[in-house]
Amino acid sequence: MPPDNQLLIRLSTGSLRYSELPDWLPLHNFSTALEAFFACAFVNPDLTGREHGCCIISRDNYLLLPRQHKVQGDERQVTPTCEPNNTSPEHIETYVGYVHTHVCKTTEDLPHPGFSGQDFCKSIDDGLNLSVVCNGQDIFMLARSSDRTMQRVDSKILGNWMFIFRRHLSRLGKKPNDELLSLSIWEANRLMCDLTGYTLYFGPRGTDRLKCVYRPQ
Amino acid sequence: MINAYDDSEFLDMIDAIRSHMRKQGIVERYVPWDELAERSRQARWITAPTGTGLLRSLAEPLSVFFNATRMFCFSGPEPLALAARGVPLAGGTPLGEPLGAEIMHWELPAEANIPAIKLSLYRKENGQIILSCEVPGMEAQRVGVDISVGGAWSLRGGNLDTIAGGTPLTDGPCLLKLTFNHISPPPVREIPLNISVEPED
Repeated sequence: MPPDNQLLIRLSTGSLRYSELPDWLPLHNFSTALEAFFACAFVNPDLTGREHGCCIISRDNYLLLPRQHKVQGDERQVTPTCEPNNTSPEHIETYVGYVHTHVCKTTEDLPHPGFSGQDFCKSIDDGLNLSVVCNGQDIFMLARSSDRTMQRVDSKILGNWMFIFRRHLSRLGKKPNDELLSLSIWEANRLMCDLTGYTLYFGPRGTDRLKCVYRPQ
Repeated sequence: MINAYDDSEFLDMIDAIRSHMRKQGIVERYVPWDELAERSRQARWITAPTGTGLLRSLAEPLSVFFNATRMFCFSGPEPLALAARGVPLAGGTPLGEPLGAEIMHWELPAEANIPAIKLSLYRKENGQIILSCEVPGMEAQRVGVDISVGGAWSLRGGNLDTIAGGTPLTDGPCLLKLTFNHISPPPVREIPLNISVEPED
């Protein structure tokens, strides 16, 4: 294992403490795997218009997106192939995270930034150490820390994401615009990070490192 | 167990807003999240409550946080729903006028037959911050709610004029105590308040 890959591997196992989460998270070879997955999901005309997902597998100290774990959903959701914490003999790999895409309906649509409320719910429900979303333009990652992120949380509580979102939007003004919309989504994501204890990373597609943009308080 | 990463509600909401924007002729621009993050750090109005306060409230039956700009309230079972009712206490409010008010559907004792309690903050001419409480739509004498803050003052029933003349709030933690003394024995609800009065912009 390359020494500088250790941070990402430790993060993928959920063993990093909150104080150890870096401001910049190097992705190393995982960025290549991610970009290959996104290129297939967003560029191939036959595959656009549907969300794509893939389990993030840890094997031999590398993070992989195996072909057999890649799935297509529909235009609004996707379901992982793995069950969390699968320890059956045939399931020798470790399911540490999930990556999926948010698609636009048309080429004129702006990308949908950030995570949805159900993304937070599912990530917690599956005990993910890494949860990645790409909207075709940017990559967002929720990173678990051993001493801050919740193990289990009531999905009914997390289900209030839309309520938070609407409230933030209403606070920002009666006439929505793109910046206020983005800011409301941002604030809803920030509050969900506070609740779940996930740390939020962000970066443009193709980047080899992600920037920490919010640490849960 | 949740089966899928389901973005339906998320997408419906965004699509509806963007559809409305297009009808208004508003040009969309994708805003980078590092820019939003920086703006968020600089924004004063999101400084309260902290995430720590939010998480701590999960363990509390009822809690309220506010500063000079915003007020938030939480209740254990539905912390986020109540947190989202935080109201802006806008700067520049005329002196003597209420800085903000909030109807809170707390976990009030069912036998008290009180649907809600309204909290308001007032800034007096001398700059003092006054907290007032009232029970909308109810006759104060019949309801009979005793309210005390930090043990420094108390009142009966929620008469706004009486409350506004009470002892001003000061920085730091205190306890808002509601005694529903029209019931025997009177149920009591104690609400921790964390008061932080910030300087004007």
